Amino acid sequence: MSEVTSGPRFTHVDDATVMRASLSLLLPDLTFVSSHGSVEELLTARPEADVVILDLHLANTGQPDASQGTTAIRRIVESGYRVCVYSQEERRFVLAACLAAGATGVVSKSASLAEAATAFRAVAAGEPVIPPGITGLIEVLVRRRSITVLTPRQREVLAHRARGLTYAEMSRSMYLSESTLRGYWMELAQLVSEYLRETSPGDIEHALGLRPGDLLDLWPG
Amino acid sequence: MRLVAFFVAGMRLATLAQMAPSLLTAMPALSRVDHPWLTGASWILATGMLVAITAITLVTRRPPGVPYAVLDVAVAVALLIVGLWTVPVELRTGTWVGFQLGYALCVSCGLSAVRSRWLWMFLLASLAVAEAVYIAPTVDGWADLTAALSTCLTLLVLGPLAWFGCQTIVRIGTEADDARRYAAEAAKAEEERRARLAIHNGTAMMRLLVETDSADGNGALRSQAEVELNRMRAYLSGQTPPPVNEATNLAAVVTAVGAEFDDLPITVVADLAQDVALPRDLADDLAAALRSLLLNVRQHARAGRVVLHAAEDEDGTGWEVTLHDDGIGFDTSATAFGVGLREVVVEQLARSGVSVEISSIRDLGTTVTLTRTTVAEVS
Repeated sequence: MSEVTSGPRFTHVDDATVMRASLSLLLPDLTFVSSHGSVEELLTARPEADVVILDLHLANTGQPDASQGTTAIRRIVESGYRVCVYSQEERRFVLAACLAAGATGVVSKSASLAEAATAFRAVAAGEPVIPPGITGLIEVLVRRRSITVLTPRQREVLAHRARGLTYAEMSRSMYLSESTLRGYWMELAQLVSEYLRETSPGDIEHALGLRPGDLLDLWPG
Repeated sequence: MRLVAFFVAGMRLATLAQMAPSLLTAMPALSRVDHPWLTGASWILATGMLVAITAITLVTRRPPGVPYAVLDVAVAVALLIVGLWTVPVELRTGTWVGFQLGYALCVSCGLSAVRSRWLWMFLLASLAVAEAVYIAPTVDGWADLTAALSTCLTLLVLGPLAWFGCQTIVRIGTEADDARRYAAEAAKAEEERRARLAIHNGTAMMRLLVETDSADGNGALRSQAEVELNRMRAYLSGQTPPPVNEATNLAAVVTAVGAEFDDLPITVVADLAQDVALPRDLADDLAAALRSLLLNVRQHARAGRVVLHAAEDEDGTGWEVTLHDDGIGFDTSATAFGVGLREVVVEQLARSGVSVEISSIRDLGTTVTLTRTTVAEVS
């Protein structure tokens, strides 16, 4: 018999026992339905959750063959869950590869608990959570005409997000409601995700001015 | 003014020197003239005035003031009128026995202290009229008339020429004094500005070090404190290193400054600034400004996220750097900017053509935008 909950439901995948045991205690306002040490364990259990909060690095001596990184994201997304990456990883191209693999959000483990909780809820609502560092990369792709489908409003929202502005601040300067701005951002992130999924690593390397092969090992195959 | 004073004194002494030989011949002949006492008094009065005005001018090192000028003209006019009785008609022009014309010319050239144009014209006209009356009896036919006119014109031309010349010298001197005073004030202000620049960030670092538990051993803070300490010592010793002329780029400057503040939750986004070349002096000013802003964030903002973003304009005409924090914010209209914001950021960057805009919302955060627009060069 499953417990009836009103808000979004979360499950947590992390190979660190302490993290699995503590996150739900540290974020009591969020509803955690389960926690798992690996993606394989998650997909076997198939919990009724809306969002999988996923650590990127899951292989260890106890589970050397565990899926991790973009492979893990793909498997979870294909199983019908939204994924929010929750990791100490800070390399921008690795995090961008997570978005290319289908993750809806990326949250750093160094973020405050309040910030993390807000981000998890946003992902549950379908709102992409993209750190400014990656938003800066998207700006480059737009500026270099690699992404060409954005409207002027979407480009404006992108510029503000890359500079770290919140919806409340953007609302004051752009004279638009926060919900309208969230709508622009969600459409924009959707287009960018599609671009990242459908564009070859070579083309993205070229657009970002990287050397051939720089993204090959990071990008989802 | 000193130059004008020397000119006036010189004119007086020259007149006195020209009168001296005639004085030697005039004094023994006093008993043979019609009005010996009047003639003698005229010579004494003229000599006394010349000596007195010269002495006053040399002592004060200024041309005689307006009261002296009026008295001087009154005496000259009186001498010309009295000359109608004391100087024979045939000796009034072309000789220094009739010294009155030369004396009047000398007085007309010494009116430089009279600034009022109307008073000066009145005094000059008085001299001209008195001179005309004095030489009128010498006119007997056209030839004498032209000679008399020439004599009057000498006063009416040389007098204004001297006056305008002296006024010009005084004006140039005044402007030079003003310029020197302005330069001194500017140099003082510049020195004060350099001092504030040199020590502002250092004092902020010291404050942070004092407020931070030394046992924490914050490495980034200590490294920055060392940099600021060296900057202050260089300023105090007067051995400010010459600017390095090598250019850099905007992305490098922003990234380097961001790395100095890695104790903050800072993200540096500078991908679009890689192609923006910066001259070294502008790069140094920008780095100092960003340090000052980030010190403010560290001290006051209580931010959970800080984003330092730099980008070239899409049309390539300039660049923009924004620093955003999601801290407590402040009321920009009610809060006076401190030395850091005012001097190190706003004024110092304005000298390099970078404008600064600060917007802040309480409990939402603060955004500082630095914008430089490059004016297209006209070939």
